[in-house]
Amino acid sequence: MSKIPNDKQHKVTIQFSRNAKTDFPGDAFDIRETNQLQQELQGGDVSIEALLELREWLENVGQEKRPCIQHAPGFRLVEFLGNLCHNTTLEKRLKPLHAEYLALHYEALKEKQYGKARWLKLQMRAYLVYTVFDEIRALFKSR
Amino acid sequence: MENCEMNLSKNEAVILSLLNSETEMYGLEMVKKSEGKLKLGTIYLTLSRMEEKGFATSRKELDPVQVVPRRLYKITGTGARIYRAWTDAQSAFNRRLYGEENEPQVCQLKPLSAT
Repeated sequence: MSKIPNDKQHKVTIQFSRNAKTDFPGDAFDIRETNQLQQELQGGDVSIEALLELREWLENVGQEKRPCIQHAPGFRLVEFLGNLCHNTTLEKRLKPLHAEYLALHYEALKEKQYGKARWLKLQMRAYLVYTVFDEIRALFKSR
Repeated sequence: MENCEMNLSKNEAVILSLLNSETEMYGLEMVKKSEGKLKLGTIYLTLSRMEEKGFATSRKELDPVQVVPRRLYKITGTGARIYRAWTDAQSAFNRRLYGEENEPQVCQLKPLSAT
């Protein structure tokens, strides 16, 4: 696995991308350019090894390959529904329900049962909405 | 226990029986142990109602491995008393219905037309 670049390497990347005006062109990353960049950078203490390491990282971990942080399924829905109902409902009904379904969902993904995982995701959303409807219904009933 | 009515639904009775046998349980565990009697989608509605009635208490799980903390439920003294009263009432009902010997299986086998 490629190393994540440190701050200095990141600076070089930014500088390089500004100069090149393209999205990380691996082929255009010339050693002469790196030397030039090294001189342009303040202090100029970024080693060639670090730059080569950065180049390797940029080439091996392309934009599409880079891991992106995603929200857990139903996370935004819980946040949204939490605004509609009482805080106790959010804490005692929505969040535990979400947690249990997430556990089941990840269990299904681990076993590579993608269809089941998708079904659980749908079921979770339906039950989360139903819980809030039940809360609203109970509120009207009590009045 | 102030004027506590024994108004137990079928799901509540199942949950109380499960909580009575274990110390603490979370929703999914209850669903798995209930053998299809409880549904995960509605169990938290029932559990929160039971909490409002004072039959159970809950706390957040403090497990760092768990991404989203689950909720652990425990039976209260009131819940245990209600459950005992419910089981006693159930057996008394069965005794009245099927006789002092309390043999519901034998009675159920008899066809209605024969009686």
